[in-house]
Order: sequence, then C-alpha cells, then structure tokens
Amino acid sequence: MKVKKLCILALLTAIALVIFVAEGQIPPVIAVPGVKLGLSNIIVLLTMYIYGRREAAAVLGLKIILGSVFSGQLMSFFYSAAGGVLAFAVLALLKGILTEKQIWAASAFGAAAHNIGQLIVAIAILGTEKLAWYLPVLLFSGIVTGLFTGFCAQICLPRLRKAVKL
Amino acid sequence: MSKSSKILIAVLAALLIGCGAFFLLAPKSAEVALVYLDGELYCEVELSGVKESYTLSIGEGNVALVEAGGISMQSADCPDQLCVKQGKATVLQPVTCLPNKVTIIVEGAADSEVDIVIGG
Repeated sequence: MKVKKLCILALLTAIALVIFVAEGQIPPVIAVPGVKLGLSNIIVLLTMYIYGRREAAAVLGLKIILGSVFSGQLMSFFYSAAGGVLAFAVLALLKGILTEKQIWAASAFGAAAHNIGQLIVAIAILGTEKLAWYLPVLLFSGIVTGLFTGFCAQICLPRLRKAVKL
Repeated sequence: MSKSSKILIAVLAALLIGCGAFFLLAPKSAEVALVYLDGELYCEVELSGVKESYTLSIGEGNVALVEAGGISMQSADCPDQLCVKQGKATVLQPVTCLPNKVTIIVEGAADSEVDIVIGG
C-alpha cells in the first residue's frame, strides 16, 4: 500500500510537471503577465481530494520547484511560490467546508488567491503599489480559469478513482 | 443543486460582475504615463499633448513608443516579450516587463469621473 501510494504520488507529480512545461510552450492568448490556464493545478486538486492536504502540498511544492528549474527562470519561482502558498491555504481551508461535488468552486477561489499572491510579489519586486490596478483583471481571469480547471478535476476524480482503485 | 452550491455560484458571479464593473468604470483616457524602473520613478511622460510619436529608452533593455494618446513597449530584450505584446498601456492594464523590472503606469485625468460639463 505504501509503495503504491508513493508510486502514484510520483506519477501525479510527473504528470503535473509535464502539463506545466507543455502549457508553457503555448503562446499566451491574453498578453497579461499572470494570466494563464494553470492546467497543472488539476493534478494538485486531484491529489488533494484523493489523498489529502499533506500529499497535495508535496505535489504542489515539487511542481513549483522543479517547474521553475525546467522553465529556467528564477523569478518565476517567487511568483509561483507566493501564488502556490496562498492558493493552497484557500484550497486546504475549503476542503473542510465544501463537498466533493464543489471542487469547481474551491478551484475558482484557489486560483483567485493564487493570482492575488502573485500580484503581492510583483508589487514587492517591482516596488510600485500602483500595480494593484491589475487586481480586477487578475481576479476575473483567476475565477474563470479556476472554474475551468476545477471542472476538469471534478470530471477526472471519479474516473481516476475507478481506474487506479484508490 | 444544493443550497450551498447556489450560494457559491452567487458569490463567484458577484465577484466576476464586480471585476467587470471595474473595467467599465475605470477612466479610459490616458493623460500621464509613469515609468518605473526597479521600483523607482524613472520618468513621467505627458501623453495628452503628443503630436508626433517618438521612442523612449528605459534602462538598458527596453524601448517604449510614445504616440498620441498612448504608450506601448516597442522592444525588450527579455525572453517572453509579454510587455511588447501587451500593446498600449491603459489605466487598468499597466504594461509590465517582469524580467527587466519595468512598469509603465497610465493615469487618466483627475476629473475623469465627470462625463459632461453643461453650461461651462
């Protein structure tokens, strides 16, 4: 059982990384820094609802560290880390409140929190608090992309459970 | 659909509408552009009086294009070129070059909330 869990967590991390790198190759549709689909978060959501918070934190942490190694930009690590920590806090909190049929909502709030975290780091690094004007744009895009990834996770969860017999 | 789901939809919809309203209410005319480099004000550009477009180099890697009523990034030596693709800066969408720490913030006129002045 322990080996199986270890394998599946490693597999999930690998899938998340592949999605992350593949998504980075797609040219941005909307040219605003911080606006992206965040498809790899589907895997983080799945891990959280299959195993739990600690396991999801491990997958997310590894994805952020290895993802910025693969993308080769040190700066992106700080943005992802801040967004990741905030998004994870929101997701972990909502997991206790919302049911398994409401992953889409948890994901939307998590993605919004992720973008807020990134904005805070951007303000700290660029040193201009006027960047807060970005907030409506980032919140809007966070909710929309979060809903999308949330629905994807919602659809995948029962199928994955059945396929791997978790 | 459960009651809690309805509440969630309502909250998310309210947030989306709130953000959408922000887009509509924000001043559209660009009057002054503030260029920040590495967290410090690099220069201020008056946009309302521009007749002929000119370029403005910011730091070592970035060149901005100042046109009548707008400012955009013309070129940058960063790998992602996001700032160039962003087009003209607006009040709600500053042009930002994260790798080079350059931000162009546009401010509308101070009295932009007034639509028309009658009998003025």
